[in-house]
Amino acid sequence: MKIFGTLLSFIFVLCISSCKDEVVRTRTYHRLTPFYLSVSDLRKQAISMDKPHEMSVPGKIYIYGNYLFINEVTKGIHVIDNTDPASPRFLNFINIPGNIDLAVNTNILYADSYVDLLAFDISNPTKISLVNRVENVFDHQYINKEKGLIQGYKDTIVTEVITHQITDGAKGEPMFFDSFGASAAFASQSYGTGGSMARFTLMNSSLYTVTTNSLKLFNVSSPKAPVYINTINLGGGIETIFPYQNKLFIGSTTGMHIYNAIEPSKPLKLATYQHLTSCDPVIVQGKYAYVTLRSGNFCRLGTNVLDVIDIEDPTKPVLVSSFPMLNPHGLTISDNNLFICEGKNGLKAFNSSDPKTIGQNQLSFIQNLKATDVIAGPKSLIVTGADGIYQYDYTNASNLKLLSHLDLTAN
Amino acid sequence: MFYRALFIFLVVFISEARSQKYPYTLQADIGLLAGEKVSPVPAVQVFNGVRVDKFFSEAGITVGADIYKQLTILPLQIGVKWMPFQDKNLKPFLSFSAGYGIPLLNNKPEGKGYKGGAVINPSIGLRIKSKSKARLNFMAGFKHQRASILTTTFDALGKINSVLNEEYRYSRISLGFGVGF
Repeated sequence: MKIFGTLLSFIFVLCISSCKDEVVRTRTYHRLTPFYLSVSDLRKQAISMDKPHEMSVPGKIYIYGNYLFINEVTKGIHVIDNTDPASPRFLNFINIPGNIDLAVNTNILYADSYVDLLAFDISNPTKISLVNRVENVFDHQYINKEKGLIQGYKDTIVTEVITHQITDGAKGEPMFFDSFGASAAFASQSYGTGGSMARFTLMNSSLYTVTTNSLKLFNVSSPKAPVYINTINLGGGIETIFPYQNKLFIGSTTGMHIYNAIEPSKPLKLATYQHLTSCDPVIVQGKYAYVTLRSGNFCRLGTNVLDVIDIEDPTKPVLVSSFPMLNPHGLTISDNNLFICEGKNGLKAFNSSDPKTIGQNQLSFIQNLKATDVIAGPKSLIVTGADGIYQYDYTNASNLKLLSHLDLTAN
Repeated sequence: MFYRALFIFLVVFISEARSQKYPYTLQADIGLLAGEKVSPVPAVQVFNGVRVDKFFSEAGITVGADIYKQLTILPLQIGVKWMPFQDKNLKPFLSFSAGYGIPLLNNKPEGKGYKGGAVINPSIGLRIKSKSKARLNFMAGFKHQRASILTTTFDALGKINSVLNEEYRYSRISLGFGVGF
């Protein structure tokens, strides 16, 4: 019996010292790790043309003539010959550190590079050259302006391991640093053709750019020499800008601002249509504005709907109808067809001939693609997303035909 | 490797049991798993084995269910009981079993996955003969087992945002009683 006593004691000691439940949490995620850059060093780096690069995090897209310009988030711009939408061809890559946005005006490509605005001559897309740099116009990016330091972000894969004891009384679980979002999927736009998630746009010889809280104006009547005019404070949460008939429709997380820009250098606020806190690109056709509101990482209180707003009197926007959506992102309208990206759920097409019932007039729903933004181009419907760039023949919106797919490793 | 060993054990065990050389024995227990700063949780198990009188032992397979707050684990173990004192009415025994715990999936939400893990359960007990053919068992021991929940989160576009592996390591006092035949 002595052995039992010994074992009982052993088990007792083991339990006293070891009867603790543990959970080991191992989390692997993408994180944009901040780092500091000297602007003077940055400007010394040559803005170079390069051979085609692998596309990994596509951002905004711009159609100009037979060419597509696709932003590679914070890296530069892919130049693609899209003469045949069924067979797009990568031509080259413009290395532009810190680039997010772009726009094209009369063979001049405007692109941001952290705090600067760059102008490129793209009249020969195989031989693109930098023709101008407007310095310090996006000075909100400075982390220390006196020392000329800005903050960049590097996409890194982080693995964190946390071990803690499980107890009944624990009020919370260990917190990991939150991800900034794996793909930072800034989306696309196109001048005059309705890119809905753009932050750069052109109208009446002016380049309008929005930051998170302001509108910056440039006179581009001489395309190669953009001139910074001024900055207008818009409040917080600014996301997108859309030009339509001398007006600017600015999407923010809390509403849609309408500005009269008939005098390009002095936009005047006409009204604000307010909604729940959501991410909301906006497009306009005729007397209606179409706003998609979505929930998500950056739009935590959001809802997922398409709002149709009567803007016949732009000083008094009125909600006409609202339709539930899955997770709407960018949208575009062409003739009587409205196309809405539903994020990972796909792409929907609606007949927009009656805006008040548009949500009930779905024409098609492609579910096997991830769609961030869509542009109805002259030759094809261009859809950008986490899987790359899709192009569809949209002559019949009820039956969209896939023309081509540029995946993320294509070049 | 574990499954191969278990299979071989099962084949040998069943054939030996059928040969009547080693009489069949069964023990069903109900109990609690208690630990530091956590509420006890219920556990049930059934031991199916054979008696190996030559070594005063029983060997067999234990299946059961351990109902933790975070997840339910079905342990599948092989084990032995050793009863060196052959008092007819009161037999203390030592028991050791080890195996693999399989998480029970009530439902599997999108992005969730489950993985089992090792189980070990040394214990001591007391077997009391009753007036009927049945006998009562009381056991106390230590049970350690592991299981993991894998959660994958996606962004709005369906790209993987993060992968979280939560490995639960339960170390509990096991207390139980039951009947055997």
